[in-house]
Amino acid sequence: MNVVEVAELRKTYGQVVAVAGVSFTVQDGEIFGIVGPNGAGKTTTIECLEGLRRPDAGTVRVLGHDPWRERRRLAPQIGVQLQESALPDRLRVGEAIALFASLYPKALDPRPLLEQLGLSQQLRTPVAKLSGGQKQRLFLLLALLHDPRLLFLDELSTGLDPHGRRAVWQLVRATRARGTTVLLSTHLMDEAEELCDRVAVFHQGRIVALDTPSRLIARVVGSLRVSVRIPEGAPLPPLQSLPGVRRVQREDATLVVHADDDRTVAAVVHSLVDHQVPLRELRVSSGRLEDAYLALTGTAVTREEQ
Amino acid sequence: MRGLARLTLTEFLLELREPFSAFFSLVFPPLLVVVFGSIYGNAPRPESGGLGIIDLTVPGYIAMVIATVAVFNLPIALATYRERGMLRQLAVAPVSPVALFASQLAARAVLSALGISLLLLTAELGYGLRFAGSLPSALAAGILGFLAMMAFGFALAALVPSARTALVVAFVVFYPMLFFSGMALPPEILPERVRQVAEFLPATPIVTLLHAAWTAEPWSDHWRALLLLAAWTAGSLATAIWRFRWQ
Repeated sequence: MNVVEVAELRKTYGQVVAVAGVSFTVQDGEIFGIVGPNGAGKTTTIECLEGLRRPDAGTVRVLGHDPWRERRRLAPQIGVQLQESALPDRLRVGEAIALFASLYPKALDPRPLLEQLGLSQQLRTPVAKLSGGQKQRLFLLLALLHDPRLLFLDELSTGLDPHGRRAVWQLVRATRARGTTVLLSTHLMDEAEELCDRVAVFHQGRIVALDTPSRLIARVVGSLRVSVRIPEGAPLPPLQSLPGVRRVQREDATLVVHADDDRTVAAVVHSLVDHQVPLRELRVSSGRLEDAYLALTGTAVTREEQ
Repeated sequence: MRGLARLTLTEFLLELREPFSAFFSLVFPPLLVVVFGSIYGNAPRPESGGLGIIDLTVPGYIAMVIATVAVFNLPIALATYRERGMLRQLAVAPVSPVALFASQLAARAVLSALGISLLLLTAELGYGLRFAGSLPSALAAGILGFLAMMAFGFALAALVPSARTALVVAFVVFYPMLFFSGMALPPEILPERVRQVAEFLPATPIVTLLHAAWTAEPWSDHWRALLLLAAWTAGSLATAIWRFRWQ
């Protein structure tokens, strides 16, 4: 069953086209990620799904509802963490939780959630006194409190330190395990790779790729990544022409080769040895979503500049 | 219902914790009574039908409490909530604009009642407040006035684009009413010209009706004030509903 259905969604602000015809579906129980540079249309798309913005064209269905027309009927079933939101400075954490719990027909026991998010000691703390990461975790808790069927997380880990991010990731996975579908947007590719079943790469208001992280990596940059330290100015063999080599990049003193498989890696290493390039700090690792993302969103920029 | 009660309680607590709004709705009016009472006392004056200075100024102060809570503090609070995204947070939860309005109405009714009680208590304990009118009349005038001021406050909140503008508008709208509608100064000392213009300020009919209730004048003497009040309320409500926005 599809929890979210978007077809040819368009949204313009004055002269600026924020979303230029986007289509995708999110399946029940899935963690679906939206990634893309700033201004790619991620937040506009999410806000159209939440019923906060009215699409200019296209159809949007969320849990069978038109979010703009039926926001009130949709609202009890969705949990929303907005990218930009706030609570009154003098409201205390415990009061915020009591308020949001009271707005829904049912609410979970907040204590385990507080525990998991490290907010148990903050119940009497005014919102203004919370750190950025604590605020972010509180908003996640408020979005989860009524056990929604669909959870929207816009810029999930903004302001979180590594510990906070781990805790939040764990909670998102546990939430999905309870049957909640999750739609999140993020700037962090390791986060998308870690959490998402499928990822849509947004660029300039369109989806330029949509797949599982591993298939996306394999398709765009190959499954393997070879890096080796090379002396400055050293001549390089023509690696690009080897079969199975996707991309060759030189980043300062490091050569990065994106390759399809082990056979290709062997051929690359051979070629380097044949051309007397010393194999210092040679590393073979899995392809990264970040490389695929940069390739997808970077080439489009170059194309436009030409 | 549970949600509405919580929203109301939350708004009430937040207003109490806001030093500026708590001071001007709860502390400032009794303070005025003490200041003017210590200067003029509250001796009965034959030319005022046996009422003293404090007896005559208290109806204006009641209107001042209501106007502070509804016209001054409400637009600033709502505009701030909207600007900082708190209203969007409520919009994606199952909260209707009606529930938001109702919770503000309830919280501010309690706040006004509290402010007015403190004011009356101070006047009574300090200067033996005299009341020559009918209590049902005074209550009706107070409730009507509160509803009218709340409608006006909601309209201002819907019209202002930002929290900063809300503050400016609150000052620009509130201060003329404070001095020319008879809240802080008795209208008798104002020049006739000013009184003629001030009649059309939204708070003036409220002060008129409260005064009338206080001195047992019949409502039928004040149909002009009632009409003006009705016109302001209808216009304000229409504006508040038509221009309401969550973001």
